[in-house]
Amino acid sequence: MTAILEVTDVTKRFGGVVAVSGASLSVPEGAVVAVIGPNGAGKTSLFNVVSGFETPDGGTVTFRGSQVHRLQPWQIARLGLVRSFQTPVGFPALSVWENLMVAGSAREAEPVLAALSGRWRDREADADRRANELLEQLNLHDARDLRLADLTPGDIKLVDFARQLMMQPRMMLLDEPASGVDPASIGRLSGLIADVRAQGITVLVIDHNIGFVLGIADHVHVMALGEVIADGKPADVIQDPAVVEIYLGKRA
Amino acid sequence: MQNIIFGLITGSILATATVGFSMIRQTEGFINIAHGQFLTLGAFLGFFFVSTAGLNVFLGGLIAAALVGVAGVVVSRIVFRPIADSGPLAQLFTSIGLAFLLFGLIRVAFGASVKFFPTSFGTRFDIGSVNVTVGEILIVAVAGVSVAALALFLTKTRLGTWIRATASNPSLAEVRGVPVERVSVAVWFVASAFAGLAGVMIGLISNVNSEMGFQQILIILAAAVLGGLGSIYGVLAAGLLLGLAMDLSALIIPTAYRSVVAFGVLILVLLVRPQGLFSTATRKEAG
Amino acid sequence: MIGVFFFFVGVLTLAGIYAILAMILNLEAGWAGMWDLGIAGLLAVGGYTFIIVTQTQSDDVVFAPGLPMWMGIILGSLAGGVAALIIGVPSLRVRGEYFLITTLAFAEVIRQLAVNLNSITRGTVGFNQFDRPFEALAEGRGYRVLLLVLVWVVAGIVYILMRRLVHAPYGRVLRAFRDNDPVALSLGKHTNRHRIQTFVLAGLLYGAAAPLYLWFLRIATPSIFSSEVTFVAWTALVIGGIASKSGPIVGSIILLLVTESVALLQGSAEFAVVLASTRFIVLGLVLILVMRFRPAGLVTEQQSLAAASNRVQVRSS
Repeated sequence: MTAILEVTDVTKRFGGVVAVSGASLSVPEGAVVAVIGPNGAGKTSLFNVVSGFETPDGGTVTFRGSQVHRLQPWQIARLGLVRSFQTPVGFPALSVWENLMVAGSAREAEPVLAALSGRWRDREADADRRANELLEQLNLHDARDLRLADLTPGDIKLVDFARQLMMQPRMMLLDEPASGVDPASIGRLSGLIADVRAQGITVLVIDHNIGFVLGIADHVHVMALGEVIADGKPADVIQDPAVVEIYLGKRA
Repeated sequence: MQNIIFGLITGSILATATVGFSMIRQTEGFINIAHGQFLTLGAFLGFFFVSTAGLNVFLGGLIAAALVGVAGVVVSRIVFRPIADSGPLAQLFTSIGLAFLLFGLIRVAFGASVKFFPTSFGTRFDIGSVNVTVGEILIVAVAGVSVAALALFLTKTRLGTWIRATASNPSLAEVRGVPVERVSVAVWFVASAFAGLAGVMIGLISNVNSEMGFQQILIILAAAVLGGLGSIYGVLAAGLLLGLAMDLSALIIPTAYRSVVAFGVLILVLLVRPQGLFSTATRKEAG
Repeated sequence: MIGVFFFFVGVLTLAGIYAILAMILNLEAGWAGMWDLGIAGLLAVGGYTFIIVTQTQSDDVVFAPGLPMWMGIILGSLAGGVAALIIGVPSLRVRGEYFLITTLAFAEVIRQLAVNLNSITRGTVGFNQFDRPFEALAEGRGYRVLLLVLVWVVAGIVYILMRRLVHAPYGRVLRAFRDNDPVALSLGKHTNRHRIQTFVLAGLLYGAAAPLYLWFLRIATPSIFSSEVTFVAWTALVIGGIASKSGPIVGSIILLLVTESVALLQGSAEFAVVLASTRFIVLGLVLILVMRFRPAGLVTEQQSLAAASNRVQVRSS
């Protein structure tokens, strides 16, 4: 299996703090890979580098064969790498449908003239159809015209997920998808990720919830203090003494 | 050179006016456009005490500043306290409304004509190639002493330390037991009093008129932004810098463009170094 | 009575002009989240360009080509767009309140230039001889009614324009990155390009609207482009309801009626000063009260845009 994402020796510093230190990982196409580790391990910083929100001080990131670590976030998203955010606030003043439709358009900049002439209606038809399908699948169709801010946090997370799917991504980065989700709904979340994987989309997940991660991931990387300290199959990784040590708090 | 002296005078008055504005921005969290009106109020009150009540200019100016300080506290409780949780933009627009309100009230109370302080500036004399009056030196001295006193207050007293803590991290300060209400009252008093004082000084140097507030607030904004977030010294330095820039530029550009120079400096600095000239913190992108 | 009638004609005309300004401001600030305090500057650029290129008297001005009115309007609009581009590209590198201050600074620079470039703008004296459209059709005071109609026809066109923009993907993207820039970026949107486009569009529109303002006031001096214009437009927008469609219109009408009606009170000369000041007192009070009790304005974004009936039907394939 070819690697769709290659992170090689990435380092990121903020002032005097080293958030990520020489981290490397490789994500095979079509797999579900997880990155776990205690708070402050550098997971979100790594995500930010991969998705273009931060430029690395060292190292490279390659996605689908092209180097992306110097690209703008919107350019990386155009290539098919779409991320979620830890607190899924989305676009609170917009309706659920509008939230999805923002992601549905393939252009990076909407032309003003087209807006004035109304020539966008045909092009929107396809996105509208996909948006409605996703809403049906996620049981959110009744909420279609509600303001996103008026939904429950759980539903806002679902809309966040759907919004990513509207981009028809090749790979999804999920930042703590299980946080704040009640245990009963975790199963549903795992199911969604399985569906996504069945469509051929590669998934890279950060999460704290070990049980959730074990249930969905093919491969796990463990980070601590900005470094990748272990990786392997989930069952193997959790028995790795170094990993056990960090989680029991012997190493900060 | 003569222009350097003018620059120092302009700069020290500007610093006096800006230091309070900056304090409010840091502890209360919003841009107070009405600050300029406190300046105007101070100028008119000072003029009233000196010309009508016949008081000595120092006493008149001091009383005027103190009264403006009180006015600032009162206004802040009535107007800004109720909307403290509404976010900086709502507070900014409220301050714009307050600025209009005060502008109108001041005009009604004091009239629309231009007034001149009947105070003499004392003897003119030369120091080297420069020509100054006693009065001008005194103005710079008063500005300097006031700012120095403020710096001492902020560093050496308990209330001052509380104010600095609130300025650097309002939520943390509250959690740590800093009396937020007392700090707020103190800040509004000091900030408004300094604005009033600056108003008296401007009134002495040029004249007193109702437009002063809106004219000065833009330059004050420039100095505050230039000074960056952080200590009083940044504001002081920025005020002096802008004052010097404005008056020294008169050597090469027509004096009518004074304020253009100030804004030009502001725009340039904002684009090259958005965090201001003297700040150590990176400017947070708000919205 | 006739006097009162024409007084209200005037107030409503000015209200229409501010409605246009507020709608444009709504596009930049309400929908695109750019808190622009420099609209008086863009208006000045458009207004002065229009006046200067259409002037025929050339005694004390360096440049007076005497172009026809329609050309003046187009050039004024373009000038506004170019000014917006020059101001916008650097200013949009900073956000929120710093963008606000930068735009205010630029507007003040423009006004100072208007005051001081005497050979081009006639400084503080300005221009007071210029033609107005359709003057042949109505004489004397009757023209004021014609101007009222003209202004509101233009306001109607601007309203339709804005409605089209906000319901299109373009408008949606604006409101999206206004709410959450990182998420918009993560969805592949080049948000800064949208901001520049919107800012320039606003500049073009302000420039095109400027002649209306000049035709109403019948003079062109730097003082009519003070920051007061900016603040009144903002107040109108905030009262009416920022980010709604009809908010700017509602707010402008209410605000102008309230502040200008004070002038109906007749009085002595000393009273005149008080009267002139009362406008500001009322304006200030209105703004303070609205921000305190109804900061979302009279027509909210939700009422105006998010209702299901507003979701424009896309054709299904």
